[in-house]
Amino acid sequence: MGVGICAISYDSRELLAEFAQRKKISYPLLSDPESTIIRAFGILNTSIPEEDSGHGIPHPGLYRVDSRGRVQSKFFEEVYNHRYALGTVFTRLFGSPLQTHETVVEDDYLSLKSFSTTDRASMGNRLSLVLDISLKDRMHVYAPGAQGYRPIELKMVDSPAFTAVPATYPRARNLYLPAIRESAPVYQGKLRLSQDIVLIPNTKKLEAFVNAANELVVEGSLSFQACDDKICYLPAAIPLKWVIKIVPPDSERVPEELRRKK
Amino acid sequence: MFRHRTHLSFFHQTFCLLLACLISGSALHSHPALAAQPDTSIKTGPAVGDRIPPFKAIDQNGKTQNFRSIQGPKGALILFFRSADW
Repeated sequence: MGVGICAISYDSRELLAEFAQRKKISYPLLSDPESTIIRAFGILNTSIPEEDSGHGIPHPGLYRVDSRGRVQSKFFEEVYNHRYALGTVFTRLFGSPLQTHETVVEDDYLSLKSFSTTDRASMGNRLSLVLDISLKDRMHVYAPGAQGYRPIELKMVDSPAFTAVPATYPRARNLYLPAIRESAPVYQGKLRLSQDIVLIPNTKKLEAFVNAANELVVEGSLSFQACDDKICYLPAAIPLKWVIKIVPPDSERVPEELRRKK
Repeated sequence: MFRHRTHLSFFHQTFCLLLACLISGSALHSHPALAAQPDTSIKTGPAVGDRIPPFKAIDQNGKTQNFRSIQGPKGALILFFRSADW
């Protein structure tokens, strides 16, 4: 892939060495105990008093940087206990999910592959639920904003277990429809729809919504009206389901003598 | 009717699985100071297109690292996390 990686925190080298050994991490964990790098990046969390052991931490986030040191993209959350799940970052950066389950649906107008950017998540994780859609030959569906037509829509079943971020749709193209002498925004060929959800940042509350296998079932539907160059077919809706294994966050700490003191 | 099938798509890079420890593991726990004063005015540092500041630090093995030593041919992922012990 050709991309290097490092992770930076205000932890001591000794603490990072213990953590890296315990978690079998081989890439560089950089020690920034005076928060010099964190300040240079301008991401010091200034809400923590100096007398608190947490003073010096950064606002957590991830930068993708090109070989000349320029930021290509970055991932920061607005709420302190929300985090992008790894698979979400990976899918955004590189386009492919990480070993996640895929469900494939075929119908007369399109085929779709749905997956979550992660199959395992903890409280506060931000996941993307992704639909890769391939329309059949000569088919089109209407894009959001089409007037007088039923546009394609990815809709989630509401749940207190998560907050749904508005779904993202790709840019549509305008198609001229000679039969009615109008243009309308449509999708043809292949497109990807993505719906982010953020799990509630509280393990106990989240557990109230999981099944006996500790799975959170997230449901939704894709509604659309498919047309070819002659006929518009009846509106259709495809039920969707994603199953996310809920795992507790890692609470293991380093030995007492390595912990940060103030 | 719709035809469903489920399978696994396989990926990929060891570092991604390890990175998961830092993104979704220890770094997510609450902290008393944060719980009392959740800071939602997040500062996110250099903007897309900006150059990152130079940096130098030792890693867990005591080796001095900087951007040049970290990066691959296509650049680098630089993760800031709160702490490995939270």
